[in-house]
Amino acid sequence: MAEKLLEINNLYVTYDSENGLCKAVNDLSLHINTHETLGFVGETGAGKTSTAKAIMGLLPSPNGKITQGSITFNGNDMININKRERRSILGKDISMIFQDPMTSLNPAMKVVDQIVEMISLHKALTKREAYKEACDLLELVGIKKERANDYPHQFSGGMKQRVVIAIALACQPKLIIADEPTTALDVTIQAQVMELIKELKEKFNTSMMLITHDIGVVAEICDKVAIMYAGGIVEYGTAEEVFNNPSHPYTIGLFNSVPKLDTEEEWLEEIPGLPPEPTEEIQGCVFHPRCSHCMDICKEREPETVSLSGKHTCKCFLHASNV
Amino acid sequence: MEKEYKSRSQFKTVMMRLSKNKMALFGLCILCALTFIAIFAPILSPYSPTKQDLVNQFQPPSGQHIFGTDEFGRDVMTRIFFGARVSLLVGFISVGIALLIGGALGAIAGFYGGHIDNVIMRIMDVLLAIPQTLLAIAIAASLGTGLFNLMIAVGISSVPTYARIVRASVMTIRGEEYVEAATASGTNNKKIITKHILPNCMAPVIVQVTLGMAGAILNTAGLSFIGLGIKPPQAEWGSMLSAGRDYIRTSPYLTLIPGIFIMITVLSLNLLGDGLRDALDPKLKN
Repeated sequence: MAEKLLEINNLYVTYDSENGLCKAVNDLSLHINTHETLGFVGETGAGKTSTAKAIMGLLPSPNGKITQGSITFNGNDMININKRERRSILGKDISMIFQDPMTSLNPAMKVVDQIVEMISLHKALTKREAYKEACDLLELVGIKKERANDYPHQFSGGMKQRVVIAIALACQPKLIIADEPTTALDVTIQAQVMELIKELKEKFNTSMMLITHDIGVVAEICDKVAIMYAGGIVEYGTAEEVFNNPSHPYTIGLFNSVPKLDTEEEWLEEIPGLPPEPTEEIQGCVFHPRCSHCMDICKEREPETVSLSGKHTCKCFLHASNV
Repeated sequence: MEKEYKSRSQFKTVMMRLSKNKMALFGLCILCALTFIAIFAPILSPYSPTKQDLVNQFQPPSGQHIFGTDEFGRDVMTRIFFGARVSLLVGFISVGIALLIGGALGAIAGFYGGHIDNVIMRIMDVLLAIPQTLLAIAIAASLGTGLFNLMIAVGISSVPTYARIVRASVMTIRGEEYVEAATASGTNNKKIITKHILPNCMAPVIVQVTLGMAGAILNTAGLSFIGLGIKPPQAEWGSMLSAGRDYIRTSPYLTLIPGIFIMITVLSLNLLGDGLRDALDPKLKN
């Protein structure tokens, strides 16, 4: 029986900014079971990274705040946890793969030392054992041992991301949060890196939260999908359910904007308009200004989350039975 | 056969780029020469730096006394050599003191920000409001003369400069993603500062250290000149300059030679500092 590893309930994240309160995440609830991969899809500014940072406790202080909600990881309350305990969880049980490998490695440290640091923080190993393990990890992600003593600037982007993955996996964490791990890489390297992540995830049996713009990647490796729009989840379900039966107009719009290989298409269908500014207050459904199925009720009230089938839920009046 | 992969450390890269800069290399050579004469002063010169030889007063430069003798008949060259010990030592140690205290304060202020930053930096501002030489004079006057007190005085008076430089670079590096990544791996703040932030803000600090050493040597000479530094019988460039100024009309070499040595040292440190700044500039990498 799968057990809940990470559970987020009614999470609200806000940032104080010059233009007023910026609501980055609104009423977000989700959970990830052990050995499960959740795809977290949405446009830039939808609040995906803010959610990840809230889990890690990395929200920039004092501007970023969790105003409501709870985050439970493996039985620990991740919001009210003390610093020392948080440090013992971060890296060991949850680790993060950052978006840009160019900037997420320390330029003044040899790559092997950066892996050794992670290992020695959380494991009681001697220096030599940690070094050996770091070298093994490098080989595992496809980097020759001989290059262990190089500095990050001597590596290409794809190789740096491999190193970042090696660091993230160093302590065999229970959960990996991958924040757009392939966005900064070119397409062929993206495929390689994604393949590597998939392979290692299966090998180490970890859960993963994959934040991405790329629906194709989600289809390939995720068990569940959460589609995010303007700080909230609009559709949530297993990858199969969401891909076979996309229900929210935004999800449908996203799928339509991806070119298909099997049909000739002159134009891709796009979703009109831009996502709202996070400081903007929108009455009713957040998506209604851009929605082609907008009804009167959408402008007045915020839709409830409705269950479609099994675990598949959607936040839209089109599927509400009692309207 | 596979080609062996050669790794090149950052230090080597910087040294390679520095070696292309002739002026910096010149500065480095002069400094090495000065260090050499400071270390081997007793071997290099047959005379004693303090023993008086009243028969040979005011000898102009000659084959026996290359730089001549002073009012007590002491060999000026020997005194210059022994003075180099004091100047270089004070340069190194006082900058070391300033870097240690200023660097730590700056790193703490820059990393934690908020009230801690405010308190530390306002104290630094108070210190900065007093001219550096004046501050050194005040500290030296209250501590008394002596080599060690001199180093403390010169060191403390330049603490604010280092605190500001380190704070500014720490603040830029603090926002980098690899610092966030280190936090996300459960690294504690002390380790983040010492292992991830400080090594990456070394470039401006190294440059300031070379330039600051020049300043410290000047400061020391200045303090000795006004009698707050090294006590008279001991050789020091500033006090030699000060002692020689009474005889500037009859024996100008007594002021000229220590002055030239101070100038050469400061110049070579500045050249090296400029060269290091260029060599460490990441935009010029490879």
